[in-house]
Amino acid sequence: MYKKMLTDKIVHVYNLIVACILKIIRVLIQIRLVFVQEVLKGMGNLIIDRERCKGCRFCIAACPKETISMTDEFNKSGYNFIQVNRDSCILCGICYTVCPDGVFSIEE
Amino acid sequence: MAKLKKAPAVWGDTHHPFCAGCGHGIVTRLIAEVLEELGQLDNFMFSLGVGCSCNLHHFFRGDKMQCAHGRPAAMATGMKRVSPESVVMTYQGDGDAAVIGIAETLNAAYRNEKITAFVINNALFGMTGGQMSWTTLPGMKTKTSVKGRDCSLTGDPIKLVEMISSQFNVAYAARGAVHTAKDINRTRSYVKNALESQIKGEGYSIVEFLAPCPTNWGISPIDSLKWVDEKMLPFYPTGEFKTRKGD
Amino acid sequence: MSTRKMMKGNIAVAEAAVRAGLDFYGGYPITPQTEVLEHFSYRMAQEGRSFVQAENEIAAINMVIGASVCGRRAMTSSSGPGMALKQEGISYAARYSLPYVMLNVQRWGTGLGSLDTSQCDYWRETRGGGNGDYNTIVLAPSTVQELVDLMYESFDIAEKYRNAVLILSEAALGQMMEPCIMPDYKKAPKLPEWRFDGTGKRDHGFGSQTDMTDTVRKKREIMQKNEQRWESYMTDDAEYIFVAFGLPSRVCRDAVGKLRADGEKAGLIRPVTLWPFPVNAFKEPGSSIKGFISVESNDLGQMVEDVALTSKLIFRDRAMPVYSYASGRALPSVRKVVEHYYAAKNGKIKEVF
Repeated sequence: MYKKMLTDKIVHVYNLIVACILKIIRVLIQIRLVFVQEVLKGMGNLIIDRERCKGCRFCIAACPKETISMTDEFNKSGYNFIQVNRDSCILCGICYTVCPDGVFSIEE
Repeated sequence: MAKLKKAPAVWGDTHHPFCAGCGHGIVTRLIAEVLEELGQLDNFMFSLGVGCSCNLHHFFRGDKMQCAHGRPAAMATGMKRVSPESVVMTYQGDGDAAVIGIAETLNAAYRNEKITAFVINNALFGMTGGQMSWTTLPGMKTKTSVKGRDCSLTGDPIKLVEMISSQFNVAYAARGAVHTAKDINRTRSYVKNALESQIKGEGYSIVEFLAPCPTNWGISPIDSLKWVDEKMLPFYPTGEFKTRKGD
Repeated sequence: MSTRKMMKGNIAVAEAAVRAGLDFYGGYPITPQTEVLEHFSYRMAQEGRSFVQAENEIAAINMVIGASVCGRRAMTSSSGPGMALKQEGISYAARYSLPYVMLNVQRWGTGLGSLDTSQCDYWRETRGGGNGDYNTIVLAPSTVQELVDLMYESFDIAEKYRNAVLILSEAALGQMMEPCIMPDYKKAPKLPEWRFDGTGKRDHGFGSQTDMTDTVRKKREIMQKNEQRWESYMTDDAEYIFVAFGLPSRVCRDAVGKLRADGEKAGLIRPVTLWPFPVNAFKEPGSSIKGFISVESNDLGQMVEDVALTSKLIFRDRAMPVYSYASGRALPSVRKVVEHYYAAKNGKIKEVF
């Protein structure tokens, strides 16, 4: 009986500690990303050539910050094209890497 | 204003004619990037066959010549023998390199010709509308295998890179995928190794790319990425099958 | 100039190509042209040039295309069935107006055929051969010396028009030995401006598909105007004129001599270019002309069609009978040619056209 109570207590404390650590890590990541974002925003600019977009959505699937979405508009070639929420973009360049059509470029 | 990430002008100038979500776009960009990195942007020649791959003709700037279906390895041989200082590459689909042109592909590898073969494998004939290729997966439905590929009648799919790397004395052989950012970056290093081995005169190099073809697979581009991951990768493992000497 | 030397046709023609500045050779063994391949295999290495024994004829022609597009002098050689395989490459090269040289040492027969001498590839070689609209300049030598001379000049012709040139040899011509004088090494020409050099900055002059129709028409007109070559023998007062190229033309020449000795007014037109067909040669004979006899060593008579079309063009005011003597699986003999002359003259054989 006593033994079980002790075990429960230990597990509870352990869980609390783990939860705290995870929370701290999350906050740290957030802070860091915001920091990186702020720095990068000062450094560069994501340029989108909407006329090249064919709407394959590869970038939407790959973007780690979920900043990319589809528009309702069509470009000259008749494709739905994408848009970027620049506030949350961290200029990581993954959209450039996965884009088959050269829609993205990042300028200093 | 300097560009941090921007495709080289040889690739990026014109809108290219591939379908939405086609792997050719990524592969051709990787080649252009690596050519730029190696300082070869004004010293390369492409030998093109027939198929979606020959669309390279329409947007990739530089010296490129199209020959008959399946023969780019032979034409590249002629180019390289008379201009050994240039980077000579073939750019072919799996139908071109592994079906109609398998004789030319294997013989160029057999001679250890100092060229680089880029083979885009989408497991079917893309330009003609999705017929079975020798790389079509077992059970896969195409326009000429409507009930799924029956390997008891058609033979088993060809693994070109494995065949070349195990049978011939070549400089470099690798297979990469282009369905995730991580794979794209790894594949880029294969392209670089292949071209470097040619520039240093080490011999024949080949890189096969597992590329999505949503149009002919009949699925959305996003689903095609999953399809590459779930269906193609288990059958066609990626990686370097023949590494360069000294590596 | 070197001295006269006995040389086998195939060896002599290969050596002439080396001296003409050949940079790249790709080929595949096939009798009766294999000596050409063998000669190049060591001579090209001696000269520091490229030789590839290809996996098949299709690869060989595509290698030639690759070398040619880089502005280098390239050639391939084969015989009937091998040339059949090359046709797809020839058509692709024609699309891009690439200059290069081919040698066809003809052998008799359809399919595998045999190794006997023949002129059975006339139709295919003079009509383009592959898909699409194009012509190959076809040169038909009749002696080993002429084989050498035409090969030596062929690259210049090919480069002048940016067109393929084909030397139509024959099994017996390739295998026989004759005295010939080998020309000196030609000075290497300047690499053409349109070539591939890796920069991608040159205008290759491939032309667009929209302009293609006009381009090929103009090019054909110019080549037809400039390149007709032939040799006429006793045609001025001739009544019946043999038309023959290659080895049969030598037989016909003897036949003309024999017939003239008998008081017959025979003559000979020997086309040297089979495409463009030497139409102008048919303007030379006097008004005494009564008919043409096409003499060929093949089964059906192939050139006779061009002879008929040409005589229709030249002799508009009167019907000009055209007879055919196709000797089948052998060279014609003087006796047989003379027989056909009399048969045509006396109405024993009917005109084909």
